[in-house]
Amino acid sequence: MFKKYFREIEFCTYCPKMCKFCCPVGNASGVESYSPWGRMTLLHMVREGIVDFNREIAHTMYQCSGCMLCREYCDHLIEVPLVMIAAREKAAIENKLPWEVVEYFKFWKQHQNPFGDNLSARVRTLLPESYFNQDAQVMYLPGAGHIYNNPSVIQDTFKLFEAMDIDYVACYDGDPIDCGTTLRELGLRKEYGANAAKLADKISRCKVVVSGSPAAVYELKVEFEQMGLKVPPKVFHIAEFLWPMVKDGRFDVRKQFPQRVMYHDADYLGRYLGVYDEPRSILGAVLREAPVEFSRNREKADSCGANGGLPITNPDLAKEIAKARLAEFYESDATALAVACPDAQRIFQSVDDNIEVLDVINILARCI
Amino acid sequence: MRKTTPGHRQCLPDTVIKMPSRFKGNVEIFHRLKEIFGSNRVRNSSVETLLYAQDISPESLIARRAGRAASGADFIVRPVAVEEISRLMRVASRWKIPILPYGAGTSRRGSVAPLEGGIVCDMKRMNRILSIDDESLIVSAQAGILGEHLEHELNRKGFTLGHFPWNFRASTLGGWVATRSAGEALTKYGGIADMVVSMQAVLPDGSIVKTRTAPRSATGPDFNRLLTGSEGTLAIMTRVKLRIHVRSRSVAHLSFRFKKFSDGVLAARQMLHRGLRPSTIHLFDKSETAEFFADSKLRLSGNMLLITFEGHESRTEMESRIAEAICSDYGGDSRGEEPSQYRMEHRFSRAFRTSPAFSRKGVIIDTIEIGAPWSSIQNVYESLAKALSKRFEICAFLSRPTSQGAALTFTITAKATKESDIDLHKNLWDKAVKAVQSSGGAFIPTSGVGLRGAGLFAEQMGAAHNWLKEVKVEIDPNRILNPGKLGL
Repeated sequence: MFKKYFREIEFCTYCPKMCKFCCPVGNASGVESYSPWGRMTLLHMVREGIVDFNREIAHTMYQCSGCMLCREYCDHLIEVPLVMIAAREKAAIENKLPWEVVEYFKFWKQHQNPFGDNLSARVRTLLPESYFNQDAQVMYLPGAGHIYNNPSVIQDTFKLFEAMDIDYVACYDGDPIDCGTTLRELGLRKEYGANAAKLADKISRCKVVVSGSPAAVYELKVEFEQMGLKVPPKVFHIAEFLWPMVKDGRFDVRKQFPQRVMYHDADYLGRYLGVYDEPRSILGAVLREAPVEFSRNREKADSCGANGGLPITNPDLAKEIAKARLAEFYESDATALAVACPDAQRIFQSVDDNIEVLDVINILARCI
Repeated sequence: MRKTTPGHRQCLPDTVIKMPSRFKGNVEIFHRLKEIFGSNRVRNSSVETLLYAQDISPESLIARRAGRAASGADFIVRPVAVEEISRLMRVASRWKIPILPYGAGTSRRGSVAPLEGGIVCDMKRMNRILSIDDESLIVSAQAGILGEHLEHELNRKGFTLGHFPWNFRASTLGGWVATRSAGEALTKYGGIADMVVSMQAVLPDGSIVKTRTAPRSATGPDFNRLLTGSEGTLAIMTRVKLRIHVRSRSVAHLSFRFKKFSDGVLAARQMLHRGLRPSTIHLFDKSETAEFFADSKLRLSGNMLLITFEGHESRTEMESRIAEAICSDYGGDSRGEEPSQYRMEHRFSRAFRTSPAFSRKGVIIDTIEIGAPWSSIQNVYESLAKALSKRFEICAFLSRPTSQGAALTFTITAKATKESDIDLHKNLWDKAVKAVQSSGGAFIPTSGVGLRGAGLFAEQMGAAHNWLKEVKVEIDPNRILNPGKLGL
C-alpha cells in the first residue's frame, strides 16, 4: 500500500490540513488523529519507520466515514478514503483488525449479509412471483438495506414501473444479494472479492442493472470492473433510470406531494457516482416548490456518517455525524427529509425517529 | 515505537531550553486528569501524543521527511467546559506540569511544540456558537470552533466576520486570537485584534476572567489586548465575543496589470490614502502571477493588482470608478474582473504548494511575512528579492494594506546542494532576517511567533520584552502555560 499510495501519503502529511474543516469524523470527535491529516501522517510515520503499524494505528485507520468530502476541498484531489481502505487491508493481513470488525465478519459470514436474515427469501415476499424472471435483460438489484429496513422502496419501484408500462425489468432474488460494500470498506478484500465474483456471475448476463442503492451501483460500475469481473454494460441508480421517463411524461402526476421537503445528497450517489440532478428533478416534478437545500449540498454536501464502516467501528460517532447533518434540517421549514440511499435513511432515522425520512422513490410513488 | 527522536529539539534554535519530560507515565497526574475529564477525554497514548507534537512548520516537515519526529507531550485532554480548564490549571500548578493549548495545530512556527512534555489541552470540543446578537452585530463563540465553521454559520444568517487568514480552513477562533491573526480582508474589516469585543479566559491559578462587553472601552488598560497574541502563554481563552458585519450583497472585482511592481505599490497606496476601503488588495509580482495563475486559462503575466470591493452597490460602483482612475494614472492596464474573481475563488490555494515541494527530496518551501510602512515597502521588497533570488526561487505579493503600510509575503523555495535540509533552511532564514532588518521592515508572522520567531520577536520588542517577561512571571509564576513560546 505504501508504494501504491506514496504520493497521497506524502502530500497529506506535508499539507497544512486544508481539508480539516470538512472531515465529519474529525469534526464530530475533535480528535487530531482522526482527521485526514492525522491518519495520513500516522501512515507516513509508519512508512518512515518512526512508529510500528500497531493495533492503535490500525484502529485509527477505521475512523473515516469514506465520504470523500476531503477530495472536494483538495487541490491535489487526494482521495484519503481509498488509502484508509488499503491500510485496513494491511490490518487484516497482519491480524490487527479491531474486534468490532472481526465480530462483523463472523456475523456476515454466517448470513452472507450484514442484517442476519435470508434477504433473498425476504425479497421474494415483497413482490408477485412474476417479477422474478431471472432471465430478464434488465434487472433491478435491491439494496440489502432496503430489503431489511425499508422494503417499501422496492415495492414502490415496481409500482412506478407498472404505472409507466415498464414490464421488462425483473427483480433480482439470487444469492448473494448483498454487494458487500461494507466488507470492502472494512478492508476484508479477500472476502469481498469472493462475494463480488459470485454476484457478478449471477448478473453478468443482463444488459442493464438498476438499483436503489448507490453503493451497489458503485460496486458494480467501479469496483467490480476494476477487479476484472464481468459486469452488465449499463448500471444505473434508480433515479437516473426513472428521470428520463418522468420527464417524458410516461405517467401522470395525479397529486403533488403535500410536504416541504429537504434533500440530502448521499455520499455514494453524489461524490462517488456524480448523480446530483436526477433525484432533485424527480422531486421537482412532484413537489409544490423546489426541494429545500442544505447550505452545503451537491459535491460539498456534509456526510451522514453511514459509510466507511463507521457505523460498525464507531457507531456513536457515526450517529454524531448524522445529528450534525440534521441540525440544519431542524432549522428549516421542511417537514420531510428526502434521500436516495438506504444507508442514509437508516442512520437519520436511527438518530431521530420523530422526523420523516423518505426515499425519493417513496415520494414519487405517493404522487401517481 | 521504534525510533522517536527529539526532532523538534534538534531543529530548535540554541536559545531554546531543551528539557526531557519529567511526567512520562506519571500515574497520579493521569488519575487526576481522569477525575476532571472522565476517561474518554484523557489520553496518554504514545501514538496520539506523538501526532499532536507534529505541526506544519518547515522544521517539523524536514524532520518527518528525514524519518524523525518531535517528541510528544505526556497527556491529551479535551475539555468541554470552562470549569474543567480551571481545574486543569490547578492540577498543572500543583505538579508544575506544562499545559499546551491546542487549536487546529497549524502553526508554522512551532507554537504548539511540547518542549518539556506536559498536557495538550485540545480545545476543539468547545466549538459552539453561543449567540448572535443581530442588533449589536456581535457573535459569541467558544474558542475551539474552526474558523470556517464560524464564518459558514454567520453567512447562513446573513453576516460575516470578515476574517480570512491563510489557514482559514484549519484554524480555530482561539488560535486566531492567541496569535493575533491577520486575514486578507484586514483593510476593510481589521485584524482579529480589532474584532474582539470581549473574552472569557482561564488564568494559570484557575481563576476565570471575563472582560466587559462594550462597543468601545475608554477606561484603563485593555485586558483583551494583553491576551490577544499571547499564544497561550498567559491564559487559555475559552469564549470570545467578536464584531460581525452584515454580509455585502454587492461585490466588485477589478484587475490591473502593471509593468513595474513599484507602480502597483503606488496605485495601492493612493487608493488607501484617498479613503478607499477594498475588502482585499493583492499586488502579485511577476513570479507570483505566473505561479498563482499557472492552472487558470487566463494566461496572465506581469505584476497584477487584484482588487475586491464589497458593500452597498452604489458604494462599490463609486469605489471601483475611483480605483480605475487611480490605476490608470499609474499605468495600470485593466484586465477586467476575471483575474480578481479567480484569485478569490482560489484564495487558499497557495497553501497547497507545500506538499509538492516537500515531497521532493532536498526541497523546502517557507513563507515569510513582513510588514512595512509605505515609505519603505518598495525598498523592503527589492532588498528581500535581491538577497534571496540569487540562491532561491521566490515569489511575492503585497496585501492587507492600510493607510500607513502593507504586508509583503514571500514564498521561498530552496533546493539543497551540499548542505543538509536544516542548514539550507537556516541559511534561508539568515539571509531573509538580514535583508529585512537592513531595509526597514518587521516580521509579522500571521500564524504566531511560536518558537522559531521568538528570538526575532524579542529583538523587535526591545526592552518591552523584559516587561512582558515580568507580566508572565506575575500571571504564571509556575511557568505552566506553553513554556518557551514568545521567548517566555
